[in-house]
Amino acid sequence: MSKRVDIVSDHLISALGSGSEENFNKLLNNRTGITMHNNGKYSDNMLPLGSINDEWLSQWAYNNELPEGFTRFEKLSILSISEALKDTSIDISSEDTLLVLSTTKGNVDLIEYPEMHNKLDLWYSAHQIAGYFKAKNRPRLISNACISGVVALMYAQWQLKEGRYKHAVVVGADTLSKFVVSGFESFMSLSSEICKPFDKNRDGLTIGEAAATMVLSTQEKGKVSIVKGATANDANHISGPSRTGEGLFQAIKHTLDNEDIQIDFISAHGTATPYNDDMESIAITRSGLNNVPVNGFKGYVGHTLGAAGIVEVIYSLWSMYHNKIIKTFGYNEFGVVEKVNIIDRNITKELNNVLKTASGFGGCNSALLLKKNG
Amino acid sequence: MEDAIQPYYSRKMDNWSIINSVEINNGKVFANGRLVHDTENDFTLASKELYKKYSKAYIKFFKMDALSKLGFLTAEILLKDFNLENIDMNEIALVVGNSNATKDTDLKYLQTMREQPSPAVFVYTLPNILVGEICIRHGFKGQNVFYISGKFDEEELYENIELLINNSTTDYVIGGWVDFINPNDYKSILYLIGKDSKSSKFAINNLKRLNNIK
Amino acid sequence: MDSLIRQLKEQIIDHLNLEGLSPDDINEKEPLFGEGLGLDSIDALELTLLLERGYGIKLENPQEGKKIFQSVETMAEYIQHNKK
Repeated sequence: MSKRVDIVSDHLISALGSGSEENFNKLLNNRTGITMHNNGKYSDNMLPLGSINDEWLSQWAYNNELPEGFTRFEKLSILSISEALKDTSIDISSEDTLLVLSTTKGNVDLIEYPEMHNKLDLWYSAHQIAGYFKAKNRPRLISNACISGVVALMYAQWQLKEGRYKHAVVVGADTLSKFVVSGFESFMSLSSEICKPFDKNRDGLTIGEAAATMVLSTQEKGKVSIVKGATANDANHISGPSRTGEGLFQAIKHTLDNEDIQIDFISAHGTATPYNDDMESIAITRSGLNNVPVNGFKGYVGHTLGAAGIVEVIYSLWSMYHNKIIKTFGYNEFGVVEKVNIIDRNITKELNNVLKTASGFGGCNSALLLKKNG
Repeated sequence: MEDAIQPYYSRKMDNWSIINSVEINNGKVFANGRLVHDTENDFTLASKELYKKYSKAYIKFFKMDALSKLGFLTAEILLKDFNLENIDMNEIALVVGNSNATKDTDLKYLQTMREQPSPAVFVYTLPNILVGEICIRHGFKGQNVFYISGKFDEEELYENIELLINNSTTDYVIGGWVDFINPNDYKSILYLIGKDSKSSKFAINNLKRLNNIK
Repeated sequence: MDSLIRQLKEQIIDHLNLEGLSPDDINEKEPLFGEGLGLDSIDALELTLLLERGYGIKLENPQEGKKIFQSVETMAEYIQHNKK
């Protein structure tokens, strides 16, 4: 028998700060965490990036007596998991709890240092993080490009609803690195200004970094539950989005399952590349959701890759708690091919059913349905 | 009070079988457990041999990184006698894992990064790209899950496929492991899982039986 | 011109990782994109870099690439006219 999977706690650290409430307050005030970088660390060019202030991290590590030997990526993940678990009674070291990680590149910032190459494996980081928390169960690790976070939440929901575990701690993290920034620069897909999702003049994405955690449970109650998720492949191109939005359309269709459900808000992927945002507008319209309010959060913290799905689900969750849809930062003038309802100022609306979508390289697409519990 | 946790095994799995399996392991190729090709060459040459023997003109193959080539070739052999007509492409899923993600290609990209970052190399620095290449080749539009684990474990693969089947309307799953360390150390195994009463049952012991080189 | 075409074919194979192809497999009159060699937008970026680094030609407008990269022959003609 299938069990309801509730979201009982969450935390994230991003360019907007540490803590979900801190982050959401800044979203409510439409403040971005993205800043201009010109120090040559990630690029020779001046670039906007959504970077985490290392002082927050070192202060936390000091206060919590975090042992040496963890990389920055691992520390951020540990910080986020610890803070998310703080106000719950859930024991991460119990055999009832599963740890699920989501990342695209993990410790790739260390690839420039040959003596660090033994730390590059993603599963190495998973074991480091699981080891710190003395997790009983083998950690599961999802690495599915920019949909990783949504896939990890879907995967954890599968595990819990079948009763394989009672609780799951799902963490998504990726950090800034020259490796990733130079790669996106070589694609010529970075904007020289803060990204402008769904805007007429959008010209590329802004990279960010984050670690974000959601604690799920079938035993403890939360205000919102994860109903269902699905993925689909475009089978079209490894780096270009489908012109017809087919994969995202299929992912949404499988998630909504032909049920007569009224979606109150869509948290879109909104990378602010010309093709991606057009593709999303097509898929949303094909799904019959073109009147539903849509926003993109990437103007606030950047595209945080393997963390993005979880970061944006947490922002959606807090939007549901407060019945507020947050303005799409960077968006000024409508500019996608299909007439979807992009939110350009904060609005108040009862949010009961929320759809999160994400798409990524490899032609992958995903959708996840959140529902407020009555 | 919540009711007690129910046993999670699913009766649904009784109808599912392993229709085909292909393993490529350091020059040796096994189809359904039987050796069908054996070469001393490293992957650079072996991949060309296999492409010539098992694949048709598909120029994109040459642009792929080694990891994608390995996954692509394994799928070519797996599906060569499988009739895809009358199959709903939206219900063919891929569940693939590995241990080294894209380490070999990451190091190649690092070399270009120091001179002139290469977009054609960078695009292959995500492991699920190999899944995308297989989907493009055959038109598969179903669900995708790419996972990372310390080593290939049939029980973990079984669990991931079972979860996907239980939670979707999938008709077929191509599931397995595609891991590339260097041209002399690589392994892939893909299983085609579907409802076919003539084939051996989809079960952990059968996944293990068809895996020749541990 | 013939030697430039030959050299370009070798460079394309090298830059686009078309390992396994030989220059003779590429017909200089056939389209590089879509049908023919089946190149894509990422390859177009690589070709732009090839012009820049190999021949000192910087494309100011990426849209120009569409015409220049039609075939190996059109690339060679463009290089001959614009080489510094």
